[in-house]
Amino acid sequence: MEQNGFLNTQERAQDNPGDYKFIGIVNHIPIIANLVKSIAFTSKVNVSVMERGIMFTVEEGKYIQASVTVLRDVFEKFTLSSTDLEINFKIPSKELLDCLKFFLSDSRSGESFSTAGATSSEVPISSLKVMYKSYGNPFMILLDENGVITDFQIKTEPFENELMEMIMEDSVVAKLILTAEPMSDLLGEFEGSNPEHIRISIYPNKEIKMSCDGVAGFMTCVIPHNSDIVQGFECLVECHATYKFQVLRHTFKAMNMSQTMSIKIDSVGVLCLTFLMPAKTDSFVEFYILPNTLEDNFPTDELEIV
Amino acid sequence: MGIQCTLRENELRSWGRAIQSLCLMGGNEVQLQFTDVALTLTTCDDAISTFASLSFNNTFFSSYECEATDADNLHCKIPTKCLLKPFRSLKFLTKCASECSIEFSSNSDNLNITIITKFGAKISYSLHLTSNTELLQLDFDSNSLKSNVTCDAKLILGSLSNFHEAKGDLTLKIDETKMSLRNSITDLVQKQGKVYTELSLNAVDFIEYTLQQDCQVTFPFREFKTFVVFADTMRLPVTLRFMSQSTPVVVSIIGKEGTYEGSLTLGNRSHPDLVENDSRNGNLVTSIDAGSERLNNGSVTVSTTNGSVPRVRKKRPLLFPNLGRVIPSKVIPLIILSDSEIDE
Repeated sequence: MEQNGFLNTQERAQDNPGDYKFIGIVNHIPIIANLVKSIAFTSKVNVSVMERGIMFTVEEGKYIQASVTVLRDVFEKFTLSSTDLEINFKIPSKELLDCLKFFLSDSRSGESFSTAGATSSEVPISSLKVMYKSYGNPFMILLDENGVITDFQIKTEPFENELMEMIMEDSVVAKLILTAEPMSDLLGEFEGSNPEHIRISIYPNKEIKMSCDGVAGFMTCVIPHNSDIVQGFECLVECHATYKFQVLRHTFKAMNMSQTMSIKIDSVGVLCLTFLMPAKTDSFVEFYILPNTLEDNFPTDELEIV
Repeated sequence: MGIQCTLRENELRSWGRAIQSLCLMGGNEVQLQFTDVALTLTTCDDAISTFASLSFNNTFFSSYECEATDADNLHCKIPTKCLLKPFRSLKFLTKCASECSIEFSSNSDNLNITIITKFGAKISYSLHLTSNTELLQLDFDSNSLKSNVTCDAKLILGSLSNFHEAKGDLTLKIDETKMSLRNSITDLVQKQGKVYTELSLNAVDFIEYTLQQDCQVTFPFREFKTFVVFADTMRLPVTLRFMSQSTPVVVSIIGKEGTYEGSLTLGNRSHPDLVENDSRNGNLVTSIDAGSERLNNGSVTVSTTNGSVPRVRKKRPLLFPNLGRVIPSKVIPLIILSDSEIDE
């Protein structure tokens, strides 16, 4: 049985491969499925197919924008029509995840439902082929499992051009690189308090502090700059910002899957969390979160420097 | 007056389990009492049918500094859900935490708990205390219960696993040769009839088996099982003390090297006249004094320290009488109001 069943099979009889603006074949289905699941907290996802790969982007309530970039190196085959620099469309998240659901998992190890408990001889050989013809046509997913091909067609919508532009590279005032797993454990402790807001403060050459005020009382978590989990710590000025905890919670799935993460805050408090995924895919998940505009009702006497 | 104590990694897991078990057995509040020799946590459920107490000697802690003596009554009460928050995840305590410190000051409204992780991060909790500052104590001497049996917690836990659900009451019937555990629950599948489960343990399986007389006692199942589960995780033997149908049942453990002790006092529901809690059958009570006496029908009084003058009130028989007296450090008693009294 060929591992990449699609590579040598005929396309659908009535279609010409040249009719498709994009054709991609990938074998690392569980990892990609979990990457997409980590940002599927909205009903629709924007898909951008570019030279470097595919980017899935979601946005919720103008508070948070998340994107997953799957680089073209991950694909066994990646064909983009020569006339298009970029192909954009929007598809529903639920239907996309339904197509990939058998490859989803919740564990850090990435073991999926389709491989859980299976021996090496029993693991099904799977390939995923994605195709897009043109504007107005559905996004096609063909799933090949040991020769059994399942055909999905997801209706597309026009790409959402009103996504927030989270430009912050030039104005970054603090950048930290940390190991993701302990950070996930620490933020998991905040979930017990179920706070409405969480305040993040970064002090130059000192520490990052996260604090919240919940029903039970006040909770603070301090990570010193020389902690074992901090791989890089750059902070130009003391900065503080408050974010909705429910919004920050959207990042937890990606954090659980990641090995390394970075935290960046710019001069207006926009928070950028980037999660680097295991080396197999070289993909990353990025979140941009806007701060709360009002700083009232928060028990602190620290000055906020913008 | 204040206290500061520290727990290291080895004790932290035991402490976390103790807090979780205590929160499952009790009601809405946990009382922490601090003396120079021990830190005691107690909780009592709303129906006053169970009274759980865990006392940690100062030797249990890596460091223990307390300015209060036993006479100073340094104590506080904290909502159960608040106390549980720092110790909610045993996985986190085991995997990440290396040290935990607890601080309390008599002029503070908060209990401060700080957890230091193995990678240098520090999590601090400042937990709000309840406004209820009455000290709750159980005035009952478990040594007055002449019958006692001791066995490995695993033996009892294994027996309890044969019961369908840990709900309702558990009846313990004991004689010279064996101890039987029995309960009955409504058949949840067919919604009719009952499922009776009975299991017997031979006297030879017990470490100690001292019986003053054959007897049968009935007590809440869930809290009993929670306590036994805790004892099993600590790998400690469990001692049951009882005497008759009109006295409480006390389940107790002693930690390794005596660094901590735990006891669970369970109301005995074996009284034949008391089946349901019915305020219409409340009895008139007269002249309740300081150090109130147990009433003839086995009902219970709860005392508080608010200084009110005792009044004659209708009393409702409680679901689990004969728990003993739960009294405060000061002695002006009140009787539990019946439902009709509360509505007035």
